[in-house]
Amino acid sequence: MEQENGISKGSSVYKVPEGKLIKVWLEVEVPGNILVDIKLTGDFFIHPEEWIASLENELKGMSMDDIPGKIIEQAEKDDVQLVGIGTEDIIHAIKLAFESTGS
Amino acid sequence: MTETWRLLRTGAMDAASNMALDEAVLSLNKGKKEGTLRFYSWEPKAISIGYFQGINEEVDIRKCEELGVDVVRRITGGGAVYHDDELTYSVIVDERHPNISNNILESYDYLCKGIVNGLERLGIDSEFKPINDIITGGKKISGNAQTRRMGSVLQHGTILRTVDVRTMFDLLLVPDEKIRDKMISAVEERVTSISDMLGEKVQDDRILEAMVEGFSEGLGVKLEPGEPTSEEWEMMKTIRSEKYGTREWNFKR
Repeated sequence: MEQENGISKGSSVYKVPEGKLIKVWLEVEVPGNILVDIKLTGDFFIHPEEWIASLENELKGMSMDDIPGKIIEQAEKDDVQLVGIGTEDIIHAIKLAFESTGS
Repeated sequence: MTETWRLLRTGAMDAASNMALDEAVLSLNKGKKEGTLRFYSWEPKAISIGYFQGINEEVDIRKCEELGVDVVRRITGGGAVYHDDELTYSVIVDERHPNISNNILESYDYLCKGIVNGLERLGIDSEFKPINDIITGGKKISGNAQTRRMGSVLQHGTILRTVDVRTMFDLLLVPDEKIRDKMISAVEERVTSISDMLGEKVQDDRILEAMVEGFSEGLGVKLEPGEPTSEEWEMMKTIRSEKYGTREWNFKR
């Protein structure tokens, strides 16, 4: 856990069973649990690739509670193909990173 | 009648040029019924990282500079690759080609048949292993990555002639230095090469010839040797200077 000026930083590394690796780095504002910044990296595949940056931007400013629903909604809306990971894995990796902030 | 695809042999270039040429051919592929198969290699040696990877999480940049190894971010997802003694290929084809499935894994399987057939001609039995590998005797011998944009598919990948896991790990960051040796051994157990499999160093030309025949048979197409067009070279130079040669692109994640 790392904390400064009400911002908690967290990270996680999650290997999807039979799949690829997702790494999450995030900053959460406490109290309130608002996602301030997030980066999703790893050796997975998403088509189209640019979706990841737009997803990261969409998530910024949201309450952590609303993140899972938003990820599922965006993936369906944008009709993306994920290979080696699923939306549930992204959600899980973000949850692990959030837990690592100790918030 | 069998379709004829264009065969390019562009030899060795630096990492930014190699990635820029793949993207240039992809960008100018619209409306072409026949695909392109390209073979190439890397000079200097290079690390390519997947589209989504964090460069500072994966690559020891200082070490690469010290050893004169190029570092480039690919347009395709997947993992970090050390391009040393290998044959690299790319296939560019219209997404609506009857043999290209909308399902990405199925299209990997189809395009990887070229490599599986080529390896068979060298005397190596192998198979496609989802998500994006080709394995022989349980070990990886080829890694592949695909993107789809502007109505076309680009799949590129490596076919290892020899493999140097130790140098690869010198250039890549490991999560924990204490287990570096253990990780090297584990990867050495999981990765092989044409030379390892055959117990001799196979000439580049022989591998290339086997792969050309393998792709022709595996994809069911005739391959006609050609050259990149002047338009493709021009676009390659632009993409190289505006994208793969820039810090902005390579360090964007």
